[in-house]
Amino acid sequence: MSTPKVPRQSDSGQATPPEAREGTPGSREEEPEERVLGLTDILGREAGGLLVLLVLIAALTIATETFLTGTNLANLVRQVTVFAVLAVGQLFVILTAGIDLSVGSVLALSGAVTAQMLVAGVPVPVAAVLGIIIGLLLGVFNGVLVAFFGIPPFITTLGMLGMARGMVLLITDARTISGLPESFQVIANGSVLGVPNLLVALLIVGVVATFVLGRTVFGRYVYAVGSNAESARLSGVPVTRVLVTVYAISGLLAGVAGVLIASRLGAGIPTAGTGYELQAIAGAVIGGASLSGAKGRALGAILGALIMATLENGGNLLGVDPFYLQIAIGALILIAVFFDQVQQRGLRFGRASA
Amino acid sequence: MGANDRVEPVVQLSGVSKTFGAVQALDGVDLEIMPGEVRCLAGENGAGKSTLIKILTGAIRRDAGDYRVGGSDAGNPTPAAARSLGVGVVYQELSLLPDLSVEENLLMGRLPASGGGLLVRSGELRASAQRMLGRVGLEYVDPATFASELPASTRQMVEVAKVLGADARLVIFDEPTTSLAEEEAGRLLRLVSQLKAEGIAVLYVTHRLEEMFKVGDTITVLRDGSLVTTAPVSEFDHDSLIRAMVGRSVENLYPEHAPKEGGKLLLSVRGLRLSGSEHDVNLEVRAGEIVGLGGLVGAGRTEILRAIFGADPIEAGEIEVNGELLKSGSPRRAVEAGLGLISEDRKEEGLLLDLSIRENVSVADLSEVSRGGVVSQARERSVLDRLLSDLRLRYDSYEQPVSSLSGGNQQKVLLARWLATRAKVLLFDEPTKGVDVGAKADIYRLIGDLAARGIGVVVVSSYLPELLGICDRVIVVRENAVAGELDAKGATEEDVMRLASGAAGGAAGPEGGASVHA
Repeated sequence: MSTPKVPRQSDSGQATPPEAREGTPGSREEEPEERVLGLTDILGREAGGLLVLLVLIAALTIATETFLTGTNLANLVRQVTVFAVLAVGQLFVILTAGIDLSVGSVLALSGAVTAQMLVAGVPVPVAAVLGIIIGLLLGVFNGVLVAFFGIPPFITTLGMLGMARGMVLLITDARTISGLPESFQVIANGSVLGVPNLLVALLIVGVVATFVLGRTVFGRYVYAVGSNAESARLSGVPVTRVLVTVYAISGLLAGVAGVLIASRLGAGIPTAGTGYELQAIAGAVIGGASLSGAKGRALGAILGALIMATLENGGNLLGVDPFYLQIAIGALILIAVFFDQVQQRGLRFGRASA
Repeated sequence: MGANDRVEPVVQLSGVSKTFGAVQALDGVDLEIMPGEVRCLAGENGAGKSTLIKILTGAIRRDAGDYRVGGSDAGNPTPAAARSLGVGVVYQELSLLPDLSVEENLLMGRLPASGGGLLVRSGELRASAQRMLGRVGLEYVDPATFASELPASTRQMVEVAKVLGADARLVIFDEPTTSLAEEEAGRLLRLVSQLKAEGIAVLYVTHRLEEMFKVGDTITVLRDGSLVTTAPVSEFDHDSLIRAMVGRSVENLYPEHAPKEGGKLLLSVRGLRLSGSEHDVNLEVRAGEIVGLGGLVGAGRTEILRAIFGADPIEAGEIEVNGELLKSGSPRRAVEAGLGLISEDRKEEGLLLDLSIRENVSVADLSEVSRGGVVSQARERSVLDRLLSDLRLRYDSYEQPVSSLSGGNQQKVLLARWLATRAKVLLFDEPTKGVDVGAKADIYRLIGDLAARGIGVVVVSSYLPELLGICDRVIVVRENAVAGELDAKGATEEDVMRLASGAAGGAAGPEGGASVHA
């Protein structure tokens, strides 16, 4: 919850009505009003998510012997990385008030094409990069349809969801491509100085996305477009270029996730990633992103993915029926959005009196 | 009035008032319209004409006063109830449903049906539609055509047919000729005369004074929500009518501003043709000059501003900023060339409400506070430090969302945005709309300061005292074209109105003439 601002009007001992002070010079120099710092002031929109995650971890640490062990945490990282990478890509699109439903299918296509190339003897780096480039191109295609032809993002990416899935089933004949070289499998299964490669990949994606969204001109434009595309356009923001780029980023990260999955499983699976688009959206939303745009951060999207993965992991450890887990994750999405609404209403309440 | 004692008025309003928040939109207004009378409703923008119409048609509820139709109390009718009482309205913005056929539009809400109202009786529908179209001289229109396929003027006549078909006793025309060419407008005026002959009452609202003199029997003038006068057309001439509409004292809100003579030419617009317009617009703005764009709502002032800024596509024309030709159609290039647009609708076309003051100010000029695509917040803050102290902005923190500011302060944030870009020419569209009086004076002073600093300023305003008060010269726009230019110092509000309503083609001068625009 945010801390409602103390309205100036209620400051006792100041007889001047605010209207009269409206235009007085030097109003900046007036003493700053007192504010009580709340959790959200320090952590932003991610505070709730972080709290949920910490509670989950504490509970699982107490309830199980196995949660806080190296093997299990490595397991958790393996589960979470793909979802977190997809959620970060999804976040870029969601920040512009869009949505990308195609990431699960794009992931499968990238992974399968990479696998096919590897089987055909293409060197590992070339195959991996080409697989990722496929994701990027499909993302650009989505972005062009949305930005230049004004097709609603939902429809554009729903179409791509079908097309990419159809393509991957077609080129693989719906069969798993196995027998990938060891040097490819090591990408997702190896580690550097004891740190799993997947965790390294997740950290890189998280740090780069945080930097791009928080510090760069492009990042600022993403939030501006999401807040109000027409206002942004009239301020000189290159709105179409920004839109194409966010879908390209989402596609690119879906490609990365596809290659990582293929590497982890040592196979190109044509049905991989089915339903992952909703997981990615859920992760972003649980992490504080607003589907109406301009609200959310990369850290939040990663937190959201972590919460879902931890729930699943903990459920497995405790032997909870996975159906219950589905219910829990669904409820979590509703709770996250509910608190966001309450928070916004609280803000508006504060504004009315400020 | 009251020439006819035996006949009941078709509608009768007495002491009708309506407030919106703090604004008194209507204050104790009386209105009586007799059968076969063509009543014109005159007044400036915001005088209360629309509110009056909406009360008659049941679109809004009045706060006080009586409303009688045909002598009996109408209560607070819903729009449907008002329609069945015989009060019909032809709106300026057409209300036909574009994806339905003409016949469906004509009988929408009372389609002839059988089978318990489930099946439309198409033969009867066709016949009724043809009858209704015939009454307005549209026998040649196929009732099965989609409304969207008809030209604007025909759609308007269909609209009239629809209103008449509902057995209207009073037909209200709200700026019906705004979107019509001269010839089509003439046809509409003939139809009004025909209605009058049939004994139907007409309430005719228009900004075109000459039309009032052409079709009106009586004129009711509203000003600031109050009734000024109701009198036969013969008791008015152009000048006295304009005086009755405008007649208020100019408030002393406006800063002294000495125009600089012969400043550098900063903005030059040549042969600008808006899409769908046949006229060229030419205008020039020099450094230190404040140029007003006057005219009626819908005359094309906002469109011209947006076209200069590249916000909308144009048909033809060249725009030069500071001597450099601007490629049209891109606000981004306009911003880079040194233009800034402050739109009328701040929330939809200006502010980024979710973002902070800091982000709103710097968004148009991030290249200035970034290096290699990375934004430096420290430099952003120093830009804000430099700009905001001048603007008397009231705020708590640079990081507070801009949505938490008042209207006047939001306007100042937008101003800061363009000051940050070091814009050479600023385009203001209704800069004081929704701004309280204190902040208004601030904004006038800021505009004066900008000009004194050598910025070229263009101001669109519907509020004539403001336009004349802050501008050096006023270009009056009518039908997407320049109708004339006035020196703001010598000009009166009447002069602007005369040019805006097309009563005279010439420049300033009390003898502008009351000639009827042909």
